Amino acid sequence: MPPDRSTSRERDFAAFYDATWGRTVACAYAVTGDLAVAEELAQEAYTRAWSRWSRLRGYDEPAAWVRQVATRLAVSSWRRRRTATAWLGRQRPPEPARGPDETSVALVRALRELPEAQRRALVLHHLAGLPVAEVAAVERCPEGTVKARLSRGRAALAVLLDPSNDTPDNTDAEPSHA
Amino acid sequence: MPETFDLDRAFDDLARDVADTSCGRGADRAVASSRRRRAVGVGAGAVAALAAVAVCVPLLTGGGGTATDPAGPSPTTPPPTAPPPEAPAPAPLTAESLSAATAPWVDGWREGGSPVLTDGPCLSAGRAEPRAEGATELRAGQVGAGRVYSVWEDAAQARDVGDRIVTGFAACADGPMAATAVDVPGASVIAYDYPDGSGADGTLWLAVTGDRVGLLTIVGVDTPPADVLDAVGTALVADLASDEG
Repeated sequence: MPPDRSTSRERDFAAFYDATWGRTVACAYAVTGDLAVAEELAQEAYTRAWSRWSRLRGYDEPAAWVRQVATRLAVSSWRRRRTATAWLGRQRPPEPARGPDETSVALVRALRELPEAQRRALVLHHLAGLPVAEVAAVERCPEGTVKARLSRGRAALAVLLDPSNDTPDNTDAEPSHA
Repeated sequence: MPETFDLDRAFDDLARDVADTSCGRGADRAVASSRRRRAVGVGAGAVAALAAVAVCVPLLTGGGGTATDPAGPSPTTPPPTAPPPEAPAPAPLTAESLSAATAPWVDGWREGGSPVLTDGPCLSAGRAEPRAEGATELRAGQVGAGRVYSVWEDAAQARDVGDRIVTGFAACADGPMAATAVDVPGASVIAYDYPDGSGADGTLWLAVTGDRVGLLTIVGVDTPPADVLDAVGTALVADLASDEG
């Protein structure tokens, strides 16, 4: 067995990675709707985190930083990859492992029905775990705007995920563009 | 439903489900990728990437002789290397080979379309004239690529051109550029990520092998993953080694 040459700093980072990977990917997945792309973006967030690890490890919640980066990357990626999504799906080989379950897929699909600003607010607040004030800072808007987006987004999601609304193009679920 | 809908629980379930489904590539790969990147805190300016290549490259490669000759190799320019036996086999960079190198990040490249390199073979500008040169423009939907190659008198001159390309390109980039050493057997290639000022990212690959300089820029899409960085670098070196490159 080869000797373990990793430093304690690397082991510390690896433990952090393993403990936080799932939620970080979930943040990116909730925005992009593509698990493979989300994994790529999450990996990029951790790559950036390692270069700042000496500082980040002193944070109360370094995971929030990584999730925020992953979400930001996902937002910008989603904006630019909309036209590329179709061929990405065509080109990618079949996933060897199972995909997210039906409930997760439905949630992500519903999120993507929302206006982008509402989706970002929901993901940053509920998935990435950022307080409203930090979401406002990220979004560069007043806290009241974030609260309004969260409220409208939650209401729209509730309608979209209502099992009695089994029509995908339910016009009642049309969210307002906060 | 709205009264009983629990979004936090739904997101918790999503995170758990994704965690069960996705195992990640590992912290060690994140560490390795990070270590390969060397920030080169250079330049700022507001130029869209599509224009940056067309505008910058002619300035870099001579610009009327205003640039000084570097006394030695720049730390940001890959040193020229003779192609060893394990170097990529010569192969021109075509739409097909670029698609193979960039998929699934970007695929479906076609030659032509709206020009990315509006100035054609930009490297002909300046005091020194290359012995040979060429340029290709490719597009994949809204993503554009421009490829330029040139052959110079010797390795020193090629290295000088490489230095000028990096320096001038950095001056035009809309923010800091991050350099990544690209793994290409038998060659040294560096990729530079830069914001292009329009919200999108751009990536520039620069390869200098012997007396040849090759660059490829892809704009209008996010930063490529590490395996694409390597694959494109390999394709670029293979292109330089080919008769057309």
